[in-house]
Amino acid sequence: MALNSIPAKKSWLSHPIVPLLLILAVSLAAHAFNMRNYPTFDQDEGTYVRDAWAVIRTGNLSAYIYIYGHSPVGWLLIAAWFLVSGGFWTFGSPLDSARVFILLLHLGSTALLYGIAMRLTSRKEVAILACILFAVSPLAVAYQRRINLDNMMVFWLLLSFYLLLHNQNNLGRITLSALTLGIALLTKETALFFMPAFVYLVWVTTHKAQRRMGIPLWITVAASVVSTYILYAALKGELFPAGSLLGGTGKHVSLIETYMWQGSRTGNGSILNSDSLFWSTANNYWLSFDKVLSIGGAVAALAVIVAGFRKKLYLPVGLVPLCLFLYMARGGVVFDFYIIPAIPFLSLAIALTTGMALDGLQRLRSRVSLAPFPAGRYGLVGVMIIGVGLYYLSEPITAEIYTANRTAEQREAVEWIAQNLPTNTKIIIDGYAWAELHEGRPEWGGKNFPNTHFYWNLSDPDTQVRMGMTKWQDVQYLLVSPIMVLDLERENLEPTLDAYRHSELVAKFDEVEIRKVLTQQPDQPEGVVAWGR
Amino acid sequence: MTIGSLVLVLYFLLSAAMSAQSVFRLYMMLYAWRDPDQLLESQEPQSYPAPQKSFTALLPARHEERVIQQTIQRVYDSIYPKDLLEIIVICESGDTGTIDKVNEKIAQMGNPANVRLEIFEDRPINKPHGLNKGLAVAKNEIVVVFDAEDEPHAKIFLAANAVFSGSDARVLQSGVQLMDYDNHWFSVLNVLEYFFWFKSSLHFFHRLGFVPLGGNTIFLYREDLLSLGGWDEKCLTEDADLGVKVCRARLPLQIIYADAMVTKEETPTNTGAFIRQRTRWCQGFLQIFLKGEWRQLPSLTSKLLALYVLVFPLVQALFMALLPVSFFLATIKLPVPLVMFLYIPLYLLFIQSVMQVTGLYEFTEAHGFKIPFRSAIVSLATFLPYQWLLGYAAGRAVYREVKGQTNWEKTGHVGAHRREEPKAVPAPAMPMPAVPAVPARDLRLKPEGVEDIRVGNHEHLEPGESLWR
Repeated sequence: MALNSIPAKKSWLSHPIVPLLLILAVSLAAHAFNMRNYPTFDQDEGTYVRDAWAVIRTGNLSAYIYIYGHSPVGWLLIAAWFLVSGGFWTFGSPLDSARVFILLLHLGSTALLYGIAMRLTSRKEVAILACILFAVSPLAVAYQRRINLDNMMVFWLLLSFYLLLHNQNNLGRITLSALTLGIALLTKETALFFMPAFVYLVWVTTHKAQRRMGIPLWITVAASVVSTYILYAALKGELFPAGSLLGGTGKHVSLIETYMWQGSRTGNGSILNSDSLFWSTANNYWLSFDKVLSIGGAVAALAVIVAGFRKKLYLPVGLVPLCLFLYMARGGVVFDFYIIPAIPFLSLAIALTTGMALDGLQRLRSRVSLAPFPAGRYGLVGVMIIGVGLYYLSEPITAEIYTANRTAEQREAVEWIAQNLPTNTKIIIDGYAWAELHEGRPEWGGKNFPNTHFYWNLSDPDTQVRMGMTKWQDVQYLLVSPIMVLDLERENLEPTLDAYRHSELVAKFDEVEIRKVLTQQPDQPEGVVAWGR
Repeated sequence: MTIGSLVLVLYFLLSAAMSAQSVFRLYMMLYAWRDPDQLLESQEPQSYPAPQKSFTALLPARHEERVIQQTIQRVYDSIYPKDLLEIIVICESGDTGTIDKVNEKIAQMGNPANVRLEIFEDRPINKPHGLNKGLAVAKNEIVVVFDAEDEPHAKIFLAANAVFSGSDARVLQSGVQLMDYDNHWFSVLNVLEYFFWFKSSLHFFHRLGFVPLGGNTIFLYREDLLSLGGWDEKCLTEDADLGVKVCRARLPLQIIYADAMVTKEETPTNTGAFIRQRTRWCQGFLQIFLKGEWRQLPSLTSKLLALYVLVFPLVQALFMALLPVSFFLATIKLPVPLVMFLYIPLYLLFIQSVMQVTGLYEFTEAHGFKIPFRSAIVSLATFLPYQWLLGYAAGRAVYREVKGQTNWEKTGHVGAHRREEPKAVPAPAMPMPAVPAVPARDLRLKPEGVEDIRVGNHEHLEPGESLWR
C-alpha cells in the first residue's frame, strides 16, 4: 500500500504504517478473543461451510441441489481456504477454521479502511478513529466474526473502493476496481444497492479526458464478472424456469426463478410503519449493540453527504449507508445482518465528521487567536476513543462477546452423536453440525455420519427421495435447536416436524437437544409427546 | 491419453493464449488513457516556437491523378516559411496521367522554386524506390513522407519543428487517421483500428522500444535516413521496416497524436481493396520477420514486441478462426468450469468491442462529427466478420509469400475523406484494383479553424512552451 510519503527528518514512528499495525493488533485482539465461543454457530455459517465442504469432497457447488440462492464465490473461497490452510481441522472444527478465514478477511478490510481514510483525508487521527470504531464496536464484532457472505463481500467492496481512490486517474486501477466490485457482487448480490455510490466515485476519480473510456470500461468489466454467474446457469441449462419458452420441459432449478422468488420476499411494511421489520430489527439488534455506530453513524453519514457537496470524495462514504437504508426502507424483508456492509462506512463517516469538526474548532480558535489545541488533534481523538470505549464496556453485549460461551453446547451435542450413535444413523440436524458430522473429526477414528441432513433441504420432496427419508418413520434421530423448532412449526417442514412430534429427548445441552424418533410405537396423541421446550 | 483428450488439452492451452493475447491487446488499445497526462498530449498546442528546421516533403504518387493536385496544394499551403519547405513529388516515367496533373498544378501555382517533380525510370516501381529517389535529391534537413491522398494538417510542420528544436528527437511519427467511418461496412472498424493504433498502441510500443512506423507523416533527419540506407525496396511494408532500422539504431523517437493534427486518410474503396491492402501489410510484416533484422533490436522486450507485432496478424487469424470451436465445445458434454474457461476470450473480445464503440464516440467528438449511433451498431455487428476478414488477408499473405508473389497490390484512392467532390476520372487500366468513383461525402461538420490564420505570416505565432514532449 503506497501511503503518503514522509519527510526524511521525522522518525519512523510517524510513518502511517505504524498506526496501521497498532490498529491491526487491536482489531485482531477484539475479534479473535473468544471468537470460538461467541457468537453461536448459526445455520447460515453451517450452510456455507457445508457447501465449501461439498466443493472439496464432491466437486459440486452444494451438498444438495444448487438452487442459485447465492452465487458460490463466497464458499468457493472458503473451500480454497480449507485447501491452503491444511484441511478442515486446522483451527478446530470446520466452522472454527472458516471463522479464522473471516478474521483474516476482516483484518484486510481494516487495512483497506485505513487506506481509504488516509486517501480521503491524509490524516492519521481520522484514519485511526475510523478503524478503531470498525475494530471494536460491539455491533461490528458481533457480526463480523460470523461466516457470512456479507463479511466477505465487504472486503471486496472496500478493496474496490480503495482502488478507485488509489492512484487516481489510472485506468489500470479502474479495471482492478471493476474486477473486485464484480467479485463483491458475486459474493453477495446486495452489493448491487451500493452501485450509485460507486458509479459516482468512478466519475469523480477519473480525469475528464479519460472518463469516457474509464466509465464504460469499469461497467463492462464489472458486468462481465457478474455475468459469468448467468453464463454458468445458462451452460447448465438452469437459467430459465422449467416449462418456460427457453427453459425446456424437464424439471430443473432456475436462476431466474430463484431471484424472482427472492425479490418477492416481503417484510411487513415500510419504515414509515413503526412496527415494521426495519424498526424492530434496529431496536432489537443494532441500537442495543451500539448506539454510537447506529445513531452517530447515521447522523455522520448525513453530515458527510452534506459535506460531499464541497468535498466530492466524501459523498460516496455517506451514500453507501444511505443506499442500504433506502433499500431496507422499501419495506421488504430485513435481516439483522444486513447492517454489515454499512459498518465500515458508518465508522468512516463518524471519523470524517470528527475530522471536519476538529478543523472547524481549529479555525475558530485561531480566529479568536487562541493557541492550537493543547493536547493536539491526536489528544482529542484519543479522548474520544476512550469515551466511546468506556461506553462500549458499559454495554452488556461487550461482556457477552468476550466472556460468553455460546458454542460449547453445540459442540457437545455433535460430540454426543459421534460417541453414541452408529455411523449410518439417519439424523436430521440444525445446519451448524453438518460439515463436522459428514467429514468426521480425526479423533473419531474415521467415523462419520453421511446420512445426516439439514431439515430445510429435506423439506424438498426430491431430496427426500434421494436421501431415502420420505416419511418421518425414516428418521432415527434429531439434533434440535430452538430456531429449528420455530421453523418446523411455522413452515410445517416435513418429514422433520412429524419426526419431532414422535420423538423423545435423549440428551440436552443447554438449548440444543438430541431426540430419538420413536418409530416402533403407533402414533400418539399430540399431548403425550414431549415438546422439549 | 486418447487423441481426443490431447486435442482438448491443446485447445485449452490455445484458449489461454488467446485470453492472454486479448488482455495484451486491450492493454495496448487503452494505453493512452491509462493516465491523463498522456492524454493531454492529444490536444493541439496553443503556441509554437519560431520555425528553425527545414523540411523536405516527399510525395510519392502513382496513378493518383484524381487527388495529387489537391495534396500538393495542401502541403504547399502549410503554415510554414516557404524557404524552409521543399516539396518533391515522385512519379514513375510511365505514369503520364499523374505526371501531367503534377506539371499542370506546378504551372498553375506559378512554378514556385520549392515544388518539384522527380521522375524515375528504373525499377522496381514501388513506393520505397520512389522515396529513395526523392531522398537522393532532397535538400532540407528533415525529410517527411506524405501519401498522395493525404490531408496533412496545416500546422504539421510547426508541430514537427517544435518537437525537433525542443528535444533530441531524431524521428517523429505523427498520427494518421482514416476519417470516413460510415463509407463501407468495414469502415468503422478500420477507422477505429487506426484510432487506437496511432493514438494509443504506438505510445505503448515506443515505451517497449520497438515502433513499426507508419507509411506517412513520418519525419526523419535526412542524414539519418541516408546512413540507414533509405527504404528497403524489396519490402512490401517499407515503413515498418524503417521502424526496425530506426529502433535498432536507437534513434530517439517521438510519437504525437493530436486529434486536431492527424493526417487524414480514407478507408480502402471496397472489400477487395481492403483485403489487398491488408494482405500487403501482413506479407510485408512477414518479410520483415523473415529478414531477421528485428533480432538485433536493443532489448529483449523490444525483440519480443517485434516478434509479436510482426506475426500478430497471423496469430490473430488463427485465434479468430478458432472462435467457433469454442462455441462448439460448449455444446458437447464438458464440465461447466472448463467450458467457462473457454469463454474467457469471448468475454475479452466483448470488452474490446465495447471499448471500440467508446472509442468511436471519442473519435467522432474530437472531429466534430454527428453522434455515430448507426456506426456504433455497425461496429458491434461487424466485429467478428471484420476479424475474419483480417484473418483471411493474413492467410492470403502467407500463401502469397510462400508462392513468391511479392508485387504490390496497390490501394486505390478516390478522396472519400476530402471535402470536395473528386473529379470522376476513369480508373487507369493498370495492375492496380479498379477504383469505382465513389462520391465523396463531407465528413467535416466543424470548420478546422486554420483559415483565419494568414498563410505565411508567422508573426502572430508566439515562440513559447510547446505541449509536445
